Amino acid sequence: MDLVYALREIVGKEYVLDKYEEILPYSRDASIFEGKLPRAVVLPRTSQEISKILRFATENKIPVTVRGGGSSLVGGSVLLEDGIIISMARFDRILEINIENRYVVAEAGVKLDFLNDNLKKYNHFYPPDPASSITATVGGSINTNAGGLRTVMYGATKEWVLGMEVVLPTGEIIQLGGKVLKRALGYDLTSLFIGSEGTLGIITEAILKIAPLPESTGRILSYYEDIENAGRAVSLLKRKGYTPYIAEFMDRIAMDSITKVRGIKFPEKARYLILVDVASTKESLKRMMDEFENVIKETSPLTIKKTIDPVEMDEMYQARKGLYSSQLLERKSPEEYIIIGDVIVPASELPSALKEMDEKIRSSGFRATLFGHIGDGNIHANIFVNPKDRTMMENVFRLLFDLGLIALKHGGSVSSEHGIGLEKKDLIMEEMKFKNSMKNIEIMKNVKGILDPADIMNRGKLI
Amino acid sequence: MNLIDTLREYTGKCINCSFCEAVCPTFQAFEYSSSYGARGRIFLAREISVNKNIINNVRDFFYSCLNCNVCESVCPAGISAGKASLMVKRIISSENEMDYIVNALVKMIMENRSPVGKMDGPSWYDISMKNGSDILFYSGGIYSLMAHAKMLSNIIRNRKMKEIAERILKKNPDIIFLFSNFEDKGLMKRMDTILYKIFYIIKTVYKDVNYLGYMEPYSGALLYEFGYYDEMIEYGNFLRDFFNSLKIKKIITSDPHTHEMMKKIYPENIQGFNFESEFYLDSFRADLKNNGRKYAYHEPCHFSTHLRVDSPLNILKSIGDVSLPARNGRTTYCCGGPIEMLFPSKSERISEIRYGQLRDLETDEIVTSCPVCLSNLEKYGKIRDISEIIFENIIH
Repeated sequence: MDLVYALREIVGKEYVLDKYEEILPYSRDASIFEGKLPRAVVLPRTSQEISKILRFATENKIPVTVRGGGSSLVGGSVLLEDGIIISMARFDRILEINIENRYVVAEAGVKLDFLNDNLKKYNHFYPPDPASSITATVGGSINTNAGGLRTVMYGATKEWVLGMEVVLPTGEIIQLGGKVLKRALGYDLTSLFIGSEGTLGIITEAILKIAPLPESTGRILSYYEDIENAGRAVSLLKRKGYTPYIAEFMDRIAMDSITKVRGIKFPEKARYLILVDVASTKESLKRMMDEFENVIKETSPLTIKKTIDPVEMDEMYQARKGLYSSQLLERKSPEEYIIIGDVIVPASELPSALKEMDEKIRSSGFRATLFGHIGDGNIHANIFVNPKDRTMMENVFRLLFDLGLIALKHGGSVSSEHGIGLEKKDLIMEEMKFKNSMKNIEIMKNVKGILDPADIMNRGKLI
Repeated sequence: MNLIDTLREYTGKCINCSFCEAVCPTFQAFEYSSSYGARGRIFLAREISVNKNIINNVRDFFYSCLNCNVCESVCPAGISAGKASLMVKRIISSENEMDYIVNALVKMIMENRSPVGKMDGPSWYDISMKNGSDILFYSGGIYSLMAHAKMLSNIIRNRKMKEIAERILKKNPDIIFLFSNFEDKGLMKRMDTILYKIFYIIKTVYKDVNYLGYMEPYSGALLYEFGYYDEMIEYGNFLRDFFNSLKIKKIITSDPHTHEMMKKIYPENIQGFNFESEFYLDSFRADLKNNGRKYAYHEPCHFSTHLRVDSPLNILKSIGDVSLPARNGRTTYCCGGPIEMLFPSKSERISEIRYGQLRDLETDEIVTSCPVCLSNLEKYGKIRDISEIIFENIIH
């Protein structure tokens, strides 16, 4: 049976795109990778429709890639072979907000900012906060175990998923987890799908934990000339028993790109910035901010600036969230792209790991900028490259590999929050070898083989 | 640099982060097909800049853009799908067979200074209001045009009727003149009253103001929005000469679309178009009573993202307790009006969503300051013009 005809039989004519001009935008996500044009893009509305699509795809061995917000930084949502893309955009409803039991049920295509706009009415929020939360979806962020700015206090997505509905590649619709905080039902299959990058099935809805919004927050910006001291600020705070609400790091290039796009000015002499947010009750905010400031002062910053002005805080927060794209203005030509490194180390290793990475980047000769969610030890290195220059690309992947090795040496990981996708397939192997855990890859492959016997889901990604 | 090169350089900054797609009202209204959203438009515009062959198949993707510019507000690289769409529309309009309805409207504007062939003045207009003052109240005729536009969109929302209309207009575009005789009577009456209140408010600031009523020409906003650049330049030159012939120094506008043309588009594109221009509430200072009522305010996108005019919101705040929906300011949500004449059902979907966002605020009244927004949102419930609220609360 003709593929497009079969898909239209399932979801209706309007929801199968196959014209060149309609499917072209689906050949890219936010990464540097260009995918193959899909034979069709399908926009189902129900789990039952997805079940029929996947059953058809499995029977006919048609590769399937699922797309949420399409904002993957590692090529997770582009198609590599002759197949179809399933867009989850029409799964856009919040099904239940339950404040008493502290959970929300949302469909996979719900954007995280939209979810939080709705929860704000109840003075609650869903803490995972990737920088792309304006477009990142519930399904996509579960599939990559997204982290973000607030991970330092609240943890990554995996801490906040109670359950989910999944359509397996063979068409079965299964319910995992539930609406309760504890359960003891054998293997934790809910966790299996977190970070699975669309390779095991399609998450259609999720039960997510929510939390009350902090009563008040304030911000401390500390500027440094020296990267090691900057790195010490957060580890020292933690050592002394303080947990920031947000703790971000950026270098001078990152600051300059924010100045260009947002007009926010930074001290001229500063080479590094540590941004720390403090969450507290209204009554104790000032005391807490003073205590944080006193600890930060021990790390010899050039200057410190404090604010509790919500407008000023939001401007900088949005600037940080849009930092990746802002850095596009630093490109020397439109052909230049940015590859984002994404590694993580324990907080105590930050000062030395940052210094080593900074030196490695400098010696590589690449133009690059360092920033990241320093509160949880997550460091991003944005490297300017020309994807058409094969030698340059080989060298940049070598550099990313080396940065990954530095993270491993310091007890961290090669992949923090963007996923593996296409970009880090070598690095995941390296980490497993480093930890003498190649058996893990074999287990993952076996799990994939059980759930996706025809091997149709997001082929060529992860493993 | 030619237009294609400009388009390539402009869209080349995009890295597909999709922030724009998340806030684009048409992406949702057109059932989440990426080509009908901001990211898809920028992607396709970039493709057109290297492969012009696809231009014949992309018209709807770009003509469905609301040009609300919220995409630019959230784009970390500062790119606007609206601006990219305007560039593509310029390429399409100069080289391709256009939508016949659009063609007919453009022809009417160029030949008769009105999209429907003639301008209606308000019922209360008196020729003595054309008094020779160098301060001109210029409505651009948009209030009465809304009543004609509603009739037109009512007809073309039916696919069969649209096909018939296109067949007729293909043979004889002048037939669109007939619409000057068809209007939504209720809306015409409402607009007539609103315009009276606006004029009253203007008179509290400028005692001696010139108003041309049925003699004022259309603003030309549609030429700009449809991408008819050459025609817009010609029309802007005509308007400049027209205003100069009346010795006009200052132009007071009363809606966001006309205001943008007078304040930004013509001065940037037409040599010598340097009239002082202000929105009618910018200089308003009369005392108002605070009535304690709760208002939800819909910010017109041309004010919040294109021009940053906030006088209506500030005045409303002085009258009552104002709530804004989550989508406000630079991320406001369009009323759907700009695509009403080309995609009526999708326009209505956007209006319905926006009205729902405003209704959910559970205020006493919903208010806006644009006749296009008012006419579109009103399909789903009651909505007031800011001039009506001011008129009721002004202390004489």
